[in-house]
Amino acid sequence: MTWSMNLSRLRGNARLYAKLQLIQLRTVVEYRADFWIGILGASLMHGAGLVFIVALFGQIDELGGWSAWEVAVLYGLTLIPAGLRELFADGPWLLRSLVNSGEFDRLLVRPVSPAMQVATRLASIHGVGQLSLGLTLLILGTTRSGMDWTLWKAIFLLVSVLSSLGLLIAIGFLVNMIGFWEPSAQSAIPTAYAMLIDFAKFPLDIYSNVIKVLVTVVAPYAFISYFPALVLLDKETPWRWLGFASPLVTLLAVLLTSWLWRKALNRYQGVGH
Amino acid sequence: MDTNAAPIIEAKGLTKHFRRPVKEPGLKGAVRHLFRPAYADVVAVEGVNLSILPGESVAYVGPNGAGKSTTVKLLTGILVPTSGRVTVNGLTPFENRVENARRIGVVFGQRTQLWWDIPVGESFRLLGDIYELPDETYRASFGELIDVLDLEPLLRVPARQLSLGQRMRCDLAASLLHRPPILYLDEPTIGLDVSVKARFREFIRYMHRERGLTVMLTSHDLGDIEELCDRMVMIDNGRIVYDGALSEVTTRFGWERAVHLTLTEPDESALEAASRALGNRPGAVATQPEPTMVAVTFDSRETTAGELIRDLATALAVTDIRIEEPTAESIIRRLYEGDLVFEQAE
Repeated sequence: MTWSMNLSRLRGNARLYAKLQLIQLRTVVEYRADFWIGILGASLMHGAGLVFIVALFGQIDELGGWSAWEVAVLYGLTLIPAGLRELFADGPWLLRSLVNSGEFDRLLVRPVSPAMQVATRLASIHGVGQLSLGLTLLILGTTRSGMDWTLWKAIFLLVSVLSSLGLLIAIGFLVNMIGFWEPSAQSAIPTAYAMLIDFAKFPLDIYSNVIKVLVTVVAPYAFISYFPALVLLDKETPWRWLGFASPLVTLLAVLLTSWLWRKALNRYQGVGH
Repeated sequence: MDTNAAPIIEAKGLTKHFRRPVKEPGLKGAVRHLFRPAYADVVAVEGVNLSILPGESVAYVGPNGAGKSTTVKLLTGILVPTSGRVTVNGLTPFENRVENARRIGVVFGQRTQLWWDIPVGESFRLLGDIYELPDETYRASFGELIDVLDLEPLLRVPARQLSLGQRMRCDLAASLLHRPPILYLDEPTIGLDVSVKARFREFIRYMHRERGLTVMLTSHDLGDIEELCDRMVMIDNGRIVYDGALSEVTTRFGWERAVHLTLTEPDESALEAASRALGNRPGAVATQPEPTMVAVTFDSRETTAGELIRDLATALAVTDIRIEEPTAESIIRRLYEGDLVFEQAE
C-alpha cells in the first residue's frame, strides 16, 4: 500500500470515528433527565475532590514539597486526558457486557476495525465537566505557581496530554479485555485498576515505595501527571527525565494492548452454539 | 445456476471446540473455580464439509445445540475454527474480517444492527459510511430497498420505537445496503406474525431469484425452509447428517406413513386390541395419543394402508380414518425428535 492510500484511509477512519462518536453524544443528550443527573453526579464527585484539596491546603502550605498551585497542575494534568477519554473513547467500558451478551458478534461482521467500533460505542458527556475543571486547574496552577510559559513548554504540554490520552485509552481496553478470558459480568479488577488514577492527582513524593512502584510500573499513571509536571514546573529531582518518557510508556502500553487485543479476538467464543 | 462455477462458500473439515469453565454449584464452587479453574472441552462442530455455489439457497437446519449458529459464526468470521479450513468469496473470513465483512450481509433474528436511539434513516446513512459506499451506489441501493421493503414511513423513527416486524424489514435493508453477494440469515423470522413472515419470504425470494443472492438460512421455521431453500443441510451433534435437495428428504423417508383412526368412544383397551390385530405386520407400530384416537405408523414398503385398515377396522369401533402422507415438514420434525435417523452422510 502506498503512503497516500494509507493517508486517505486514515482520514476516512478519522471521519467515521467522528460520525460514530457524534451519534453517541447525541444519544446522551436525547435522554434529558439522565443527562442532567449525570452532570450533577459528575460535578458532585469532582467538587468533593476539590473541597478536600482546599481543606487540606487550609491546614498545610506544602505537600511533599509541592505548593497548592503545583498540586493543582497535577490535578489538571490528570483530569484533562481523563475527561477527553471519557468524552471520546468511553466504549471499552462496555466491552465486558458486549462480550457477555454476544453483541460483540455484530462488530466482527462490519468492515471497520472492532477496536474502533468498541471505542466509539459510548461517549460520556461527563467528560466535559472533567475536561473543563482540568483546564481551569491547569491554567490557574501554572500561572499562580509562577511557571514561565515558553513555546517549547506549550508543545511539551500538548504532546504529553495526547500521550496521556493514548495511555488511558489503552488502559481502558486492557482492563476490560478480561471479559474475553473470564466471562463473568462483573469484576472489580477493571474499576479498581482505573481508580488508581487518583494517586496521580498528588505528588509521588508523599507515597510509600509500594505505591510509587504501583503507579509507575503496574498502572503507570504517574506518567500522565507527576513526571510531566516535573518538567513543566522545572522541579529539580533525579527523576525529572521520566517526564520525557511519557510517549514511550504510551507506546509500550499500546503495543501490549494491541497484541492482547488480537489474541482476545481469536479467543472470542460468543454465546450459545 | 452454473454448476461449473467455483463454490462461493467452502468449508473443509471445519471443527470448533469450546472451552467451558466447569464450576460446582453455589458460591463455594465459584470460589474454588477462582483458585483452581477447571475446563471442559465441548465439541460444537466437528469435521464439517460444505460447498455452496453462487446463487444457491441453502437451509441449514438441526435441533437446538446441534452446531448451526456456531457454523454460521465460523463462516462469517466471528469465530476462529479449532481446525479445518473456511473460504468465503475466496477469503479466509477470520483472517480478513474487514474485507470479508464488505462482501457478506448478516441478519441475526434476535439482534438489530440499527442504532437504537437515532432515526432509521440515519442508521442507513451511517452504514453507507461504514461500508464506504460511493454516493451513487448508496442512493441506488437505498432507493431500491426502500421501495421493495416499503420503508419510507419508518425512516424518521428511532429503532427503539419500531415493532418487531418493522425492525426486521429495516434490518434486512441494513444488511443488503452494500449489495453483498451472500446473505446469512440466522433465525430471521423468530417472533414475526404470519403476514410479516410471508412478506419477508417474498423479499428474500425476490433477491435470490432476481439478484442471484446466495442465501444461507438457519431456521426452526420449516415454512421458511420449504419456501426459500432448494437445498437442505442438516447438522446434528456437530456433524452433517444430510446434505442434498430438500425434495429428496421426502423421497428418502417417503415410506414412513401413518393411519389415524378416530374411535366411536374412549376405549382404554383400544391400543392393546390394535397391537393384537397388527400382530404379524412388520414395521407397523400403534400409539394412542388420545383416548379416542389410535395412530399406526407403518413402512409402505412392507405393507399397504389397505391391509392395515382391514385389520384394524374389524378389531376396533372406528368412525373416521385419515391416511397421512409424509411432508418434508413432518419428516424434519421427526428427524429432530430422533424418531427418524439418517445413516451417516456418505
